[in-house]
Amino acid sequence: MNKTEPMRLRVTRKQCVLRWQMCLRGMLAAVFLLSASLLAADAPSLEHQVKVAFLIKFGLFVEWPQAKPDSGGEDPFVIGILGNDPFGSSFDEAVKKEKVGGRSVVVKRAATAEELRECQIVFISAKETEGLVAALSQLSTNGVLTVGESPGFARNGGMVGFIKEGGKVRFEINTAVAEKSGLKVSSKLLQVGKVVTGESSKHE
Amino acid sequence: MNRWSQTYAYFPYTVSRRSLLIALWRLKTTALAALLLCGALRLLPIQAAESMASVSPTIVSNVMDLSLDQLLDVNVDKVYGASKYEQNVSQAPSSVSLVTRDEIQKQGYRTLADVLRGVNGVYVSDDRNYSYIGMRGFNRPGDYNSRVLMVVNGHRINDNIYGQALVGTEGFLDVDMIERVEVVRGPSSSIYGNNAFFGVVNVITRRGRDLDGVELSGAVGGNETLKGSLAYGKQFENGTEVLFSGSAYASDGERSIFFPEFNSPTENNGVSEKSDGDKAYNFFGSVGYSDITVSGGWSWRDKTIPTASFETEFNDGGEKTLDSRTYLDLKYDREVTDTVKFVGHVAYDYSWYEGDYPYGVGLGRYINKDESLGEWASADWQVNWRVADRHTLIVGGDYRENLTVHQENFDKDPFAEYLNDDRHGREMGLFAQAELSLLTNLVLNAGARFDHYSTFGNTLNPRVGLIFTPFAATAFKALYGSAYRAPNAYELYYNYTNQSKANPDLKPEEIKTYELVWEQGLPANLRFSVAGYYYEIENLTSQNIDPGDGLLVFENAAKANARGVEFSLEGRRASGFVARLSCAFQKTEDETTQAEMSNSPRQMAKLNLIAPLWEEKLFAGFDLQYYGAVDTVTLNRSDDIFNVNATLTSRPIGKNLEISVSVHNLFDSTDGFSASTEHVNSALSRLDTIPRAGRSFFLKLTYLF
Repeated sequence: MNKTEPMRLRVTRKQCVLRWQMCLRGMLAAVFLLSASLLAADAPSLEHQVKVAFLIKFGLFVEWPQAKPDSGGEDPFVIGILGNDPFGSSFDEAVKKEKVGGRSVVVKRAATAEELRECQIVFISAKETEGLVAALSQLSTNGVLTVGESPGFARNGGMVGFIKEGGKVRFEINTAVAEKSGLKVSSKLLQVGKVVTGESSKHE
Repeated sequence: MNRWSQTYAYFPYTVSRRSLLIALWRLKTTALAALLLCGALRLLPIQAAESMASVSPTIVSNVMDLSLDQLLDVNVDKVYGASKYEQNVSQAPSSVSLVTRDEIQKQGYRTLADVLRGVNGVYVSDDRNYSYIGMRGFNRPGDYNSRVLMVVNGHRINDNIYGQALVGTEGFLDVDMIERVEVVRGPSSSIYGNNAFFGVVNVITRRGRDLDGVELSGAVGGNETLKGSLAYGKQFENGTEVLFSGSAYASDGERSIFFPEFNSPTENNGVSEKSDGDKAYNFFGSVGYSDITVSGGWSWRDKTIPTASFETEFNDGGEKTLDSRTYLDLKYDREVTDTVKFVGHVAYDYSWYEGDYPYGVGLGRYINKDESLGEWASADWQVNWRVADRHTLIVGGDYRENLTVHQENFDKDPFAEYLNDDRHGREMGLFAQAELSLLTNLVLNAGARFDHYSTFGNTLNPRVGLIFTPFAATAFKALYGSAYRAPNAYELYYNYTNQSKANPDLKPEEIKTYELVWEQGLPANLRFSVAGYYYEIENLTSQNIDPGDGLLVFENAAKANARGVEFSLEGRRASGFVARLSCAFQKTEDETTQAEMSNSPRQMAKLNLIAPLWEEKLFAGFDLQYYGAVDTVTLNRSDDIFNVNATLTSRPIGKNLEISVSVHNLFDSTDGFSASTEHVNSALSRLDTIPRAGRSFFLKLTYLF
């Protein structure tokens, strides 16, 4: 009797461990299945999601000289991405439901500024550094709002440059460069942005 | 086969069935809770139906729905130290504070200890020898920061004898070389293992490209303080990045310090003269090419101690400590594919401590020397895997061989040896963590780490966090974690004839923590956060007197708990104005005596202000700290502490010159931090509190080439 009892105890313990393990595996499988069922398109970093949202907002707070007010939904509002694309396909997903002045929004990616002349906004990522000055001047002469994220973007020929302040996305606006291209930046945008000066191809 | 290799041979098959059961039970209950919560959330109308129907991530549609003003409030700050990879602060499984280089400069911080003093809920005390980091109500007297893990660029700084992290002038790094300090509150043993008990201080240095040239800096301050530093950093066209920095610091310290407890004619009426000197040097370097970075550093500090600790002679001027720390680290960091990343380190570390303790006077005067030498080699690896661009899995492991663990104590002249102890040991750990996006606004962060020590055996520590972001500017976190602190060589083996004895059977301290965090971005560029926590500690190691033989011995005696709330409100203006107000209320209890733990302020409040005075050229910084009174080791009540630092900084004048003037302890308060056991253990050493350093000016000029 003294011998059998601990033996039985040992067996139940072993079974117990197995049972727990089974449960655990079940749980983990459930968690994975649940998450797998919700697998989504690739999500860029929160910082770039916020930048996407800002790009759409810029469309609402800037007036373009060539805008055709009666074109209705025929001409889409085009946001271009020059070269490196930090947003991925989620950008296209995100703008699907968006409207700028009644126009649907599309995203156009291209390697040269020449191909993006017809866009309303062109975004240039921090990784695009080569030939930036030439690209900026070409885009500005075509009335494109140039938006970038490299340091000092708006002070060196760009119009709107994203900056980070205390963990939040902010932007600098170079009104002189924008106005030269015939763009009108609303006072609301100027209020929340930071107005800076600086000319194209001049370096501090 | 010696004892150590035997221990190694049966690793890792020594997990007892009981501990496995407990671990599984823990994991299961947390998984169940997560699942239930998840289920409940899915029944709620919050975006759940939408996220099921559409493949577009809710976070994106959430962000898209925000107004222009709301977009400005979204926190996109990233933290590395919480999970060993970059993640948004709002997604980290901890309450996190960040201090950037910009703030360090504009607040005129001189050491890492100064930086930490400004952080919400952190209580840094100082005994005119070392600085001690307290978090969440705990700042145990006699603990050399072994309950907080300090990491520099992924390299662990805590040494292998005291578990000590160096943060004051003894600090490992020149504060001007710091790009960012991340303070991760709560236990992180589930990824870091030992020492990540109350929190992690992760220091990220500047890179070669951040300097992009030479920085020469010179400073003068009160009490004959001089500091000079030279740094060079560059990233070359072929991708090679280098950074070298060196600094030298010397201060006479306060010429005379009054200790009322020693106020007697035989002890110079309580005035300790010329006994606060401080000399420190350090070097840091890093060379990176492609996937490989070799970095290393060296620090050396010599501090004279005015407090006559360990019953030494008051106003002798000869009591001092010397601390030196060195490491060399080779890092291999490779993006194997777009979604898989590998990081590995191999490193060699060295730490040296030497203390001079004078006893007796006149011809009977002699120096007692206390020394330790630690040397260890380590290797670690980690694989990060990004799954479907939504989930992150990490697995990793590390191994540490303690090559030298040497402690020695002797009288110099006449020679008499009291301790000469050499040890050797090893420790290793394996960990895994998963960040799973259960719903597009709900993340489950779960992980666990298994450690094996040649000294005490095994330990398993899980951490689970559930992070809910109903709106882009709102995050709720429910966190559970456990952590341990391994008994260190000092606690295990230090013994001193007729005074103290070793206890090689010490077990690790263990902590279980429960925490709720709410982070909220508000209009007008304000950010609010509140964290509430409950901590339970078992096997807390403390030094007691064995009634059998009257010898001091470290024992796993105490059981303690802590509960508290921390609030923080931060505002910023485009002009460069920054204001951060924080306060913490905390209550600790020793469960056996039901008394409050010593050196645990019940309230803390801090205000950091940075104001642009003239365009973007001149800034004023104010750094205010208030710490409530504490019970001292002798069970007296100390005074409240109120400290104000003020700084004026210029951005480059002309092009290359930066000037900074700072005053620490502006009101020259003499209130003091609680003393430790070494200050009060007899009639000879009887300090209750140690007066803080008085007002000190510091003028720093930096020239950039």
